[in-house]
Amino acid sequence: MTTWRSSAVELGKAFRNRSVKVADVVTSLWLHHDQVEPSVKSYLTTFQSETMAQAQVLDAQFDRGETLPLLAGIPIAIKDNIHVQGVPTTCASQILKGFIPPFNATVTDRLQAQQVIVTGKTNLDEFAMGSSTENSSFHTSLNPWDTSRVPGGSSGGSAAAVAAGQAVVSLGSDTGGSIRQPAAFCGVVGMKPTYGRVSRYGLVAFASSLDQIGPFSRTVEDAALVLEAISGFDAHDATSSPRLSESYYSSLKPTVAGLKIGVPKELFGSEIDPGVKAQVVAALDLLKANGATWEEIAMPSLKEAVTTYYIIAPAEASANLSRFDGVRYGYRDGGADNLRDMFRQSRGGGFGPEVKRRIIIGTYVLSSGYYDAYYTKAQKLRSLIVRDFAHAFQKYDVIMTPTTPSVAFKLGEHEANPLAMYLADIATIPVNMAGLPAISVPCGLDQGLPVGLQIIGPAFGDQQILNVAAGFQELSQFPTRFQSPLMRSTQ
Amino acid sequence: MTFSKSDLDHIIQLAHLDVSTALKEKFLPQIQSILTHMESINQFDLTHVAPAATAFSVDMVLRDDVVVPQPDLLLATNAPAWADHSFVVPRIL
Repeated sequence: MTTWRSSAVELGKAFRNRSVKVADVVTSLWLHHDQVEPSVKSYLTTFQSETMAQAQVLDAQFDRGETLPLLAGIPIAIKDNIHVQGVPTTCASQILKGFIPPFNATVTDRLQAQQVIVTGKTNLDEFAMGSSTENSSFHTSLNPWDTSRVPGGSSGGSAAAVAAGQAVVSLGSDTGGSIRQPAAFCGVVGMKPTYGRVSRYGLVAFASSLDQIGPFSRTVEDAALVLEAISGFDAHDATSSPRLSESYYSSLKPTVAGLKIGVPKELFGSEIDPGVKAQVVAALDLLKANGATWEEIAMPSLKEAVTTYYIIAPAEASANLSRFDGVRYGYRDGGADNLRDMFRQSRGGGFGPEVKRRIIIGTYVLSSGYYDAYYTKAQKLRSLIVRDFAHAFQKYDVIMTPTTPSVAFKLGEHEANPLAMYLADIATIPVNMAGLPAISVPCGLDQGLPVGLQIIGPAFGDQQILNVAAGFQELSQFPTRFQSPLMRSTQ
Repeated sequence: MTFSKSDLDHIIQLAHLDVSTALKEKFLPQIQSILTHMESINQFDLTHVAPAATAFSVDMVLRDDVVVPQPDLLLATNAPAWADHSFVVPRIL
């Protein structure tokens, strides 16, 4: 039976042949949500009454035989650093208290043109800075597989919502792995498109040369469907690519035979937990048994990608976040009697500890005397990372790695050691540094928790990695094999 | 490269932040550890490598210079203090 547990593709077909009503799916989704949300805390805001009204309008349109877009009626959650006009954008920060965006993000416009049903705004680490949602100033989201563990971050709410069945698909943003890492931790599909493929207009900037919006889903087809809807040139984003967007869903062609896969040894050594590595090797061998080949390769610069990232990203963040000063919107400390103190006290009271730490690091590496020692060197190392990937793609069709070095960690496990938390992004960060597309798909379980396989493609090889992911999905059947306990919790 | 308490205070001032004494005490060893880790970047010979601000060259896009309807920017709604079509802030002098 087609329900909120179904994929967006299946639901869309059922809506069109009228075997299922949009209103019935939305009603049952909210009933399920009410049961699981106290355990997982995916959302910051939900739009229950609005979605019910919208579902009835859509059912009337379907009943009249109108031809609606493929995503019409599909419940989708949006990370709360992406603007939905008229609804608060918080970035999970106190400094945006009371802020109502006066415009839609381009991705929101494009989804609304598809007549999706936006279920709500999901939780994140404050300003997308973190890997667990523990830096949200509202609450920590929990992993639907084991609620004593984090869902990953920063798009942890969006990943958890899809994994727990509180949305069919969702949007996140990925600056250093913030889509792929929570996708891996929650056992769902998460994709970071090529830099410039999806407009960043209306996404609150963290690190502008790295940020990219992308989908979470339970199947590769759904990821392709959402990417097709949101991608393409946008005059509002100066880094938007003028290349024509592709029909990612209709062009989807599962591909495994003949595939040449490179596996960087720098991301496949002792830094990866043995249980995770075993699952990834099993996935690679499954592909090999079906006509692909894989081998380990050397990409020396990847070892230092995390270091490079934690210089460049805070530097860009310290500049981007200077706009939050208590003057035009958001939180203002009313106790200051001069402008300088108002800036300082508003920013001091509005930003949480992790954001402050990153602003301090970013300001330091950009400051006089340290700019060349840190920032220029990091930019040079970025060139080497780009070069290493370019060399690899001369020989291999795709690069594969574990998405994360471990399965989802316990709440509070990395609280005292931010460096340990940063190093957990070792496999995802190089992709952002090189602006490449990558997708994480579930490939097995370790200690009963999901393990992600990361598939990386050359720039604008978004279709290619979707095809490979679809090939792996066909072989492994992961959407039916890996469902979180909370997904299965409601009859 | 050492990062002292006075460096931390100086950077906090530059960044227009307010950080409690307890948080500063927590931050100092953490940031020292992060900056020490960052020195591993020096193992690479980067003398002849050009810095990259972005991953690949992005053609800067300029919009056509046409007038478009401006949405209501909700300036008064979002402003912490607003009067006479202006943001109200404390006196500068």
